[in-house]
Amino acid sequence: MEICGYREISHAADLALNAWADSPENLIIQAAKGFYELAGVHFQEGDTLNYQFEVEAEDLEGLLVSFLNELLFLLEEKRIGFRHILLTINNHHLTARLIGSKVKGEIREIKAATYHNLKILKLGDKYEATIIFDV
Amino acid sequence: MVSMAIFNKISDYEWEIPRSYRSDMRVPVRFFASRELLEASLGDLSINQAVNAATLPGLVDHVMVMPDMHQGYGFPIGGVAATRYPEGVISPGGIGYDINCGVRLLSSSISLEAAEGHLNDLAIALEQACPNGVGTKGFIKLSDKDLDEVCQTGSRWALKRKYATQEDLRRTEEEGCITGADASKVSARAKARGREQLGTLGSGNHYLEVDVVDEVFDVEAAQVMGLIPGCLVLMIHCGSRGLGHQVCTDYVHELQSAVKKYAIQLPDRELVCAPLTSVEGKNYLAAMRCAANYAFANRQILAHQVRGAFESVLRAVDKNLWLRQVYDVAHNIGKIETHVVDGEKVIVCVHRKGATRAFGPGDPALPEEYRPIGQPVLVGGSMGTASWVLVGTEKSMVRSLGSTCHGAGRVMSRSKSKHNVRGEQLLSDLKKRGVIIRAGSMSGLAEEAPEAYKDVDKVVEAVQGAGISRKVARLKPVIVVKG
Repeated sequence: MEICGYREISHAADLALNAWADSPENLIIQAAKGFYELAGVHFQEGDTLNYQFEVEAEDLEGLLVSFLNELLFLLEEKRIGFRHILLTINNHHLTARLIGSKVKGEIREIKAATYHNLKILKLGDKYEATIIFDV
Repeated sequence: MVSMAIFNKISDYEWEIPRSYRSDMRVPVRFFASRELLEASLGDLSINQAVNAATLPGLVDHVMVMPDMHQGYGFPIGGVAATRYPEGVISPGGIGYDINCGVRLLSSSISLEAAEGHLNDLAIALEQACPNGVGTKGFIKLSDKDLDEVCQTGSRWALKRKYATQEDLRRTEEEGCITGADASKVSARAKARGREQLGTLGSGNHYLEVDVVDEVFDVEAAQVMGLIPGCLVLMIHCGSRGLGHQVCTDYVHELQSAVKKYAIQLPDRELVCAPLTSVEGKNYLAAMRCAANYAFANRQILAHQVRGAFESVLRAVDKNLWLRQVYDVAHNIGKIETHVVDGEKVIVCVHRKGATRAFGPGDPALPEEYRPIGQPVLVGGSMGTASWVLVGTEKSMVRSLGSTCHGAGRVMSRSKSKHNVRGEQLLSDLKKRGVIIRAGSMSGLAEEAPEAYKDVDKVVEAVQGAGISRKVARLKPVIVVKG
């Protein structure tokens, strides 16, 4: 198994994404990549854009959910998505520096990333989480 | 994984998990299902999620679960939970992200036979009239003031703009406007998501469906509702779009800290809640009502568009053509209602997530013409299968907090459904069965294949068997426009 990655796992009604990485930051980046894949996002080629935002939450799980919901909002409302993500986490604060582009379209509308049964597990050197998305 | 051994059988269609099952349960859980449907639910997390929901502070009676139950997030889909007002809590996860996702039914006196040669044109006209699919925008551009008014007055805004009739509003749950909505409690972000989506269907399991009234089981009730055997009806299934999704996202986030503030212990963070009388609880209630009103207005605009599409195609067939509203019901909602629990009249906040209000005969919340028969309940099918019109009963008021099922209920994951079913093949198979499908995405269509759902007829048998609803008419799909 690769050090960082993600995979869709079976869920009766919604979408479930299992992500793993060697750090909390990389775990959240993997979850973002998985989110774009689950939504079936088609990025426009050509001009790139730089973006930065910050989120705050009670804990790491909260940062993960808030970060994904920020990406979801930017996708739906601003029609932008990101292929390069750099994150810094400081306690309850996450700073994201992103490079992306306009989005041509997506195949699936995701309503939200949820907290359902969400726990970021540290197993040895590996961080792992399963996120349920409402669709 | 749970087993059948944890259930106490009350009747062939009622089962209970006692409060003693888990030490953190505050009330028992009551399931309305046949043994077969209940056993089918043991394979996912819906039973555990129902038990988790039974830990919310201030619950009364039982947590109820309908036979179309399936695994959700936090609450199971098909769950109903009532907390005592004002001491209890309100939980955004008990209502869901698509606030006031619901169903509207319009009736006609056009027979399938008369419309037969026009169905392809009708399918195209419906698809063109009702923006659908991922990322689509509506034809209405709302100013800030208009958006606030939609949030606070729902279908009344549509009436003022001539997208509705008085009868449409009368035949909508809460007459299309839940009072107590406060647009200042809806974030700028939620408003941005909702500004251009009014009058859009969305995607996923949302749809427009033209059905034929296939069989009538209660002649009197069907007559009152205008359901004529062999004639066309139209069903709209959608909700509050991005505005509602964002309201839920905002408050699930905000309430993460509220549970600590009010020292509420929960087995799942998606169940976060706040006391109904707290600032956080009141703000969510006011914002959730805005999203609910937005959804009523959304279905109303779609109904207006659908009427236009029908007229453009079928006016030549029937010059008196009019699609008359049968009813509009929410199935993801939180409502302050009065119920009798253990012989005592109590005011409660009823959370319905994938469950429909089903008030019995005589209830003053119903339009006058429906009081003798009970509230119409609209149960959506799954493209190739039937949809149903039921009515609420006296027993639903006693046993299920005036609630019943909402649809078929999923049994198969989207990825498995896509793996098993090819969209193009499904399209062709349904065509052979006389169902015209208009769908923007073949993979989206495959995800929503009929095989991915329970048998809706068995779900309806269960709620009728339990006595919490009664069959009025079975509808058979003719055209489906998938979101």
